[in-house]
Parts: sequence; C-alpha cells; structure tokens
Amino acid sequence: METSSVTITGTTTASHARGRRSILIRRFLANRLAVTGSILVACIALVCLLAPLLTSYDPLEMMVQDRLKPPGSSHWFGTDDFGRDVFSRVVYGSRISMLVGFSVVAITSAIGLLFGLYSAYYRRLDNLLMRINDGLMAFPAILLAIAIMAALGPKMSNVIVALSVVYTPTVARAVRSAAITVREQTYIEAIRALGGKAQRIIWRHMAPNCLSPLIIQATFIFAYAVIIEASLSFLGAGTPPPEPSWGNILNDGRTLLKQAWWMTVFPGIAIMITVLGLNLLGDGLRDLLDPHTNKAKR
Amino acid sequence: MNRTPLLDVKHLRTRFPTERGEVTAVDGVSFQVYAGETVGLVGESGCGKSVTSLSILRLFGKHSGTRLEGEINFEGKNLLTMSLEEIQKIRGNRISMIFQDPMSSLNPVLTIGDQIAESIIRHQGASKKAALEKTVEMLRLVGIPSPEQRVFDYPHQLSGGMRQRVMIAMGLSCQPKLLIADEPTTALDVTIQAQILDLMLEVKERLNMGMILITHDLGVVAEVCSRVLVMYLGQIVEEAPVETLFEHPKHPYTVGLLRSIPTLEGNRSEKLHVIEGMVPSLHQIPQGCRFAQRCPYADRLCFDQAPDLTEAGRDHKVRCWHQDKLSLEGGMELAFETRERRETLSG
Repeated sequence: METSSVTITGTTTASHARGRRSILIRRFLANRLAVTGSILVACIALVCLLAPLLTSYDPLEMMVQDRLKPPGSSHWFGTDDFGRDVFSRVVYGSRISMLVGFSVVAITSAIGLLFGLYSAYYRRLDNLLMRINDGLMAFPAILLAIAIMAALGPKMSNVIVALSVVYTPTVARAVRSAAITVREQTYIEAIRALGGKAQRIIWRHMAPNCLSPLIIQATFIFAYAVIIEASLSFLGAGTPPPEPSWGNILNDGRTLLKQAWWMTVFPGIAIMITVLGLNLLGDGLRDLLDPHTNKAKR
Repeated sequence: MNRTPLLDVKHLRTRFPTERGEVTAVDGVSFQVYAGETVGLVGESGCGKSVTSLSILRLFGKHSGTRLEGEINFEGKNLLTMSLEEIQKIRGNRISMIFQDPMSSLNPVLTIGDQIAESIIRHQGASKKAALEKTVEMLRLVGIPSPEQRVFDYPHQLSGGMRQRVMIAMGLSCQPKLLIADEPTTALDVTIQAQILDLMLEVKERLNMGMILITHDLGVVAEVCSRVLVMYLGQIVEEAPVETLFEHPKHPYTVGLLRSIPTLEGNRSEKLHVIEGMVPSLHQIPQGCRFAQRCPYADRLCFDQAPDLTEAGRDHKVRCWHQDKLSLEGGMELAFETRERRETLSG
C-alpha cells in the first residue's frame, strides 16, 4: 500500500514537471533567433573545449619561415608576423574569452543576487548599497574597467576582477527590482504570518522568484564581458601577450592591416559571432522568462 | 463568561507614519476571544479591521515605523512585549492567519506540499518524511481529493477554492489555538464560499480553536459568528452577540450596514440603502463622535463630544450618545426628519 502510493506520486510529479518544461522548450524552439543564438553559443563552447583537437599548431609556436602567410590549406587563417598560426590563436583565444565571460557571470550573479536580495529586504541597507551602486554605475563601463586594470596591472585574473566590479551593480539592480515586487506579494506576508524567519524568506521564497531577470541579465553580461575583455586586451590593459586573446590578436594585426588582413578579420569575426550568439540567446530568454512580454504575446 | 479568554486585547493603538503625518489606524480597541468561539470583525474598508489583525501578530516591518501600544495577551503572555524570536514561534504555530486572496498567497515556485511542510518542520521539528505525511493528512482534512498526488502540485495547477483550502491547511498544520481569517471568502465564488466557511467551522470545532473572522459581509457573519465587533474609523462602535446585533442593533452605523444588505423578498425597484458620505480620512478625525457627519441622528452633542463605549445590555456595548432612542424600525422616518437639521449643524 505504502510503496504503491509512493510510485504513483513519483510519476505524477515527473509528468507535471515534464509538462511545464516541454511547454517552455517548445516556446523556446519556436523562437528562431533564440535557437540560432544558442547554436552559435554552443559552437563557440565546443571550439573552446575541443581546441587541441581542432588544430595541430601550438598557438605560441613561432615559425619564422612562415611569416605572414595568407590563408591557405596549411594555415587556414594564415600566419602572423612571428609565423604563429592565426587559426590556432583564434581557437585558443576563445578559451580566454569564455573563461573571462563565465567567471564574470558567476561572480556578478552571486554577489549581485546577494546585494539585490538584501537591499530589497532590508530598507536601511538598501540606501547604502544602492548609493554605492549608483557611484559605480556613474562611470562608463570601459573607463572604469581601464582604471581598475591600471591599478591592478594587466593579468587575466585582474580582468575578471575588474569586470566583476563593473557589472555587479547591474545585476544587483535587476535582482533588487524583482525582489521588491516579490517582497510585497501576499505569499511573503503569509510566510511571515506562519513564523518564517528572515533568512529563510529571503533565500527560499524570494530568491527563486528573482531568477528570471538574473538569468537574462547574466546572458547579456557574458556578451559585454567578452567585448570588454577584447577591448582591454586590444588596448594592452587586458590579457598580456603572448597569451592569445582575441583582443591582443587584433592589436597585433592592427599595424599590418594592409599586408595581412587575415590577422584582424578572423578574430574580429570570432568576437562578432560570440556576441551575436549571446545577445540572440539573451533576447530569446527574455521573451521566454519575462512575464511582461509573455502577457503581450498571448 | 468567567473563563479566561484565549486572546485579550486591551486598548490596542496602532500608529503609522505617513507623508502627511502620523495616523492612528486603530485607536483604543479592546476585545476578547475565547476558545471555541468565532468573533466577527466587520466594518467598511479602511476602518482598521485588517490592521487590528496584523497588529496581533505584529506583522509590520521593523522599519515601517509602526507603533503599537496597549496589551495583547495570548495564553498569559503579552505579544507586544515579546522578542521577535518569541513571536516567530507563535506565528503559524499557536496563532495562524489566512489571507484574503488565495491566488497570491501561495509562492508560485514551490509545491504546495513544500509550503505546508515548511511550517510543520519549522514549528514541530518534524523530519521531512514525517512532515510530508502530516501534509497529506492536512490536505485530506481540508477536503482536497487524492492528496497523495496533490502535494506535489504547484499553485497554478489548483483552482481558487482549492488554493484557499491549501491556505487553510497551511494555517492549521500546527493545530493553532487561534485562527485569524482576513476575508477568507471574499475572492471566491458564492458556492465555494459556503464550502470554505463550512470547512473552517468544522475544523474550528474539531480543534476547539478561537477564531477571528474579518469580513464586510454580514451574511457571512450571521452564518458563522457567535459574537460581532463593528469597527468604524479605528474604533469599536458596537459589540454584541450575533442575534442581538441583528435583532436589536443600537449604533446607527450598524443599522446602516444592516439596511445595506439586499434581500430576496425586497422590492427590486427600490434602491438599496446607502450610508451617506464617505469615511473621513484618518488625517482629519472629527473631534466629536466619529460617525456624526454621516449619522442621521446626530445633534450638537455628537459633534462636540466623543461618546465612550458603554454597556447597553448583556454582553452588548455601544459607542453612541443616542443608543436608547434608536431602533431599526423607526430609523427611516427619523433619518428624513433629521437630515435637514444635520446639514445646518455640520455646515
């Protein structure tokens, strides 16, 4: 008797959850741009994971006899002025971009969620945190990032720190505005009336209701992080050479644009594809998860 | 009644800061609730019914600046002087609350089972498994079919009536001694309303709880309450056993409320009775009787001096200077006679 009821309940939960999930998946698949975006992002992620399998050249290996070779069968994207394989450098450069993007998203999401939830729940803390936020948001992202990099020195880990400082306020804002709406819902009052403690209300009841804007925001921040990492490296304030990053490959090619267009075009295309993919994905997720656009579409 | 009351509210006063200065939303309210009885709290919107109930559990944010004065004694302890931790142990455990809108009172991202189990785990220290079993039992108690499967449902999978049943199950999961129901049936269909009221009465009997029912529906009051408190602008204006209130109301406001109920026998073409005027703002509380501006019987005394809540019979208290002159039957004629006089007075 006992066991049979357990199995029944097990299957119903699974089917309910599956039902809702399949609706979400179907609606996502119906959005062609979002699907294109996720395919692009998936491709970049694969390139980054499978880098050693895709190319037989070491991105740092200099072959002086092969300097500035145009794209061909032995070097698909050509070689640079040190005779390094550009294809290999672009492929390995994706790892830097992805690593920076991922780390920045992870750090900003965690800290932004914490700050956003607490400032929504505790009014006095709100004033303090949001004024700090305003201060940080007053600077243009790239300027603030350059300033932090100048203070910390060019290193990949510093790029991550700088971008996290730059983008945490954006996440905190988005989470806070969602959390303030949630905080005023009757179900939060009901939980309080049932004796719920503050920490439990914040983390178990408010946090899951604030995840949609967080996920959407995180996707866009990933894209910004890729661009700004490239910009910083291009300016010489990001990932230092000889480590291949899309930004510093572009910089290497800048002076040789007339002789070797391939040194700038291919990393440029890589940046474009990645950012385009992430933005399309972000737009798709927003259509899917944001209740306001949901209502408009129905 | 010589038993000790379950809940004894004495001179409760609740004040909020607003942009236009502090308002006193509840002003010197005193009442008792005994185990096993249902007390109705009625009045128009904004009269302080809900604020009174929120005050009992101190459900105002720490930083809202709300000031509570008086005493609220529950099982021999004053809820107003307790630490936050102590009152959190009482909320949902000894005193539970059910809210008006079942559509928004459940967290959309958690299963109903999780939400009911939460307070069982919190207050009774039950294991997850034991809490789940208890949850199924509670869902069965409130009449939810196949509760073993329903515990895993999300709120959006349930109808409004079912959700209100879930809210009741949540409120009752720790067998509280007092249940505060804030317009529990207002958002529901009439047929479902009756079911939910029956259910609440049934569980109240079974658990020998005291219950405070907040409503503006006098039909509901007549059906389920044993005693009624009528509130107007933050004060109790009449307190009486339910039969007395319906048969011999003594406060003009109560009379007005009773006359505003449409009846099946009544003449359709006749307009419903309306209490004239608006509830005055809490920022401009009249110095005399708070109801005077809208009262057909008001005279100079009413505008000058505020009456106290006085005994008008057995268990019957009224806050009116002219309580003895009034009766429901004579009300209409008197109202017309006095309208002209009132206008000159208030103008």
